[in-house]
Amino acid sequence: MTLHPLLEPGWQLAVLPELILSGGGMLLILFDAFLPRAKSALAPLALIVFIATTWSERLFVQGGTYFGGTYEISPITMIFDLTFLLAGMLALLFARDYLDREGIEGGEFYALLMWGTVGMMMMAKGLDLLLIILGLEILSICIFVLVGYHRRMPVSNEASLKYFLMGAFATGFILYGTALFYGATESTNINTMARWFATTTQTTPLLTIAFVLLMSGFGFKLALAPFHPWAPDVYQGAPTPVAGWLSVAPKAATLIALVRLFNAMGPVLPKVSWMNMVATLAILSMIVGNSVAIVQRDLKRMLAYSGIAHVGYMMIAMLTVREESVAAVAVYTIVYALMNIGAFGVVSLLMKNENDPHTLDDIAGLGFRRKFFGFALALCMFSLSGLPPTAGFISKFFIFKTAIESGHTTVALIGILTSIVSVYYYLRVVYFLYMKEPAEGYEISSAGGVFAVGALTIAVAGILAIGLYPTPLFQAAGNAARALLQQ
Amino acid sequence: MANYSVLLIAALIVISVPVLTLFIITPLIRASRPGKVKLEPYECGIAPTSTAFDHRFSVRYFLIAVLFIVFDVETVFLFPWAIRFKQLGWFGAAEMAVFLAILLVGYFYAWRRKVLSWV
Repeated sequence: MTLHPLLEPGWQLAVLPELILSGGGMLLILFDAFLPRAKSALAPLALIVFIATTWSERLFVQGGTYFGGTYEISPITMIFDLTFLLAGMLALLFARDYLDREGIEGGEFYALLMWGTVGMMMMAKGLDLLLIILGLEILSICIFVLVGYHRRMPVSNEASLKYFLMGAFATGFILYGTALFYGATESTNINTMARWFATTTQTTPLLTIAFVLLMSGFGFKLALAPFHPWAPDVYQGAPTPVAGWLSVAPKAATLIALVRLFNAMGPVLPKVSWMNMVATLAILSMIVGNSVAIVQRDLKRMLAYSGIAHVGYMMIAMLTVREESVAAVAVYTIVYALMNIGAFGVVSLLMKNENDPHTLDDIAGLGFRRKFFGFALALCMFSLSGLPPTAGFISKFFIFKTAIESGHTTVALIGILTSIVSVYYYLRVVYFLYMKEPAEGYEISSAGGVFAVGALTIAVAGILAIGLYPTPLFQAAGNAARALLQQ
Repeated sequence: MANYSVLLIAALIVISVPVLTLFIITPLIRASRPGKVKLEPYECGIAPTSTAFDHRFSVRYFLIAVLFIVFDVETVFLFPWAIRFKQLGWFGAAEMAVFLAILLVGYFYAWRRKVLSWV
């Protein structure tokens, strides 16, 4: 018996992860509202919800499209779902100790993290531009609130308002671009658009405007230069674990949406100069991100600029959408989640007070005093700069390799050169950690309980495991990408 | 484009009616005798005591406004459901139950967070 024409059999399993996360979020805010004294149970409960969601992902063995061809479940969406869940779990574990230290723990924080993850899952699975926008909005609203979660801190409020104003504006660009795409291709469904693009060999000014608008909006969400200036301000003001999550998860969701779009436009893309525009964005991001990061003394701002550069690397692989490049992007987002949230997590733990700037001097000499934290931060920095044997090396290597194989040698070369520049500011952090003496009278924060140590262990183990034995992950991502592109 | 020109003409007519009556015809034929009372802002018929800048409005009003919107949206969805109640059948009832349950979560949350208790 079918309930409704748009509800294909098996839809319950298709959206089970989203249902568990949404319901779990509601449960958590009610739990906190009815039992305000049981705050210490919130983080474990949230972790259980995340683990249950991860487990529910494997119930789904059969891919397919649902809800009238607007929702696709396939191996690649599963990989991205797991990336979002990994990012959410790491952020949750780091946030637990952070929120406890700042005295602002509440069920809303974890609930918003879950609902944001639901939005990202919708973006990854959406086969319709409207559904992708809907997911993006669910995600954005959660981010606006999470960034301003430190309510009594003006800098947090400022960051939230900045991101809200600019994010709403960027969504307008995406909506307008989608409307024009609808006008040109008569559909917002990605598969229908792909059929339309397959019959055409040339583009119209309308399509070009639509593409430019859409790329501007998505470029904002990705913090691609020149749409990046919000990133350092927002990351600096946001609660540090949120900044780590924000610098990874929404980017992964936007990238998989872009993969679908670029794939749909496949036959047209090589014939028009749109990809030159995307390549320019990638080059600008790498140059701006890596060169401005050098002069940053604030760790959170430095990581923000490094994030801009890393999106630039990922965009190199997107220039030609094919099996290897999609796989490289998928693996890069997972690795990036581990190392960047790990780095932000350590920064949040090593600081005593959120209101102060998180300068390099604050971590001077900490490497020998907080041994595990120091080691983890150093490893994240090695991985971010792409030094072997970390996961950052192997994932970056595959990005550049696929780019050169696709014929984008110049862009890849700029990527390699700027990535050499980046080694300077990443290793400067390690230098401060181990070769500097702490300032006079500086007391080291003693934050960091079992949750944070657990999260760091996951990050460190992941970085080392993927760095030393990357084959299974790359094979899984390659198979998933092949399934995506063969449709 | 020919079809749209009709729309354009209709739009021009619709716009010109208030423009003509408010700004052109009325000022020509009306008597203009402004007085202190006449120029006061209208406030439910009660004479205003001060300007809006002299007062601080409680943030509570904002919370009540948000709650109002939540339940306003609820009725917006309830009316169409009521009209198509028979055609939608049990499926519609289940969908509405889910929708109301989600809203109820927000209501309970607001209630326990003492949004509803005054002062």
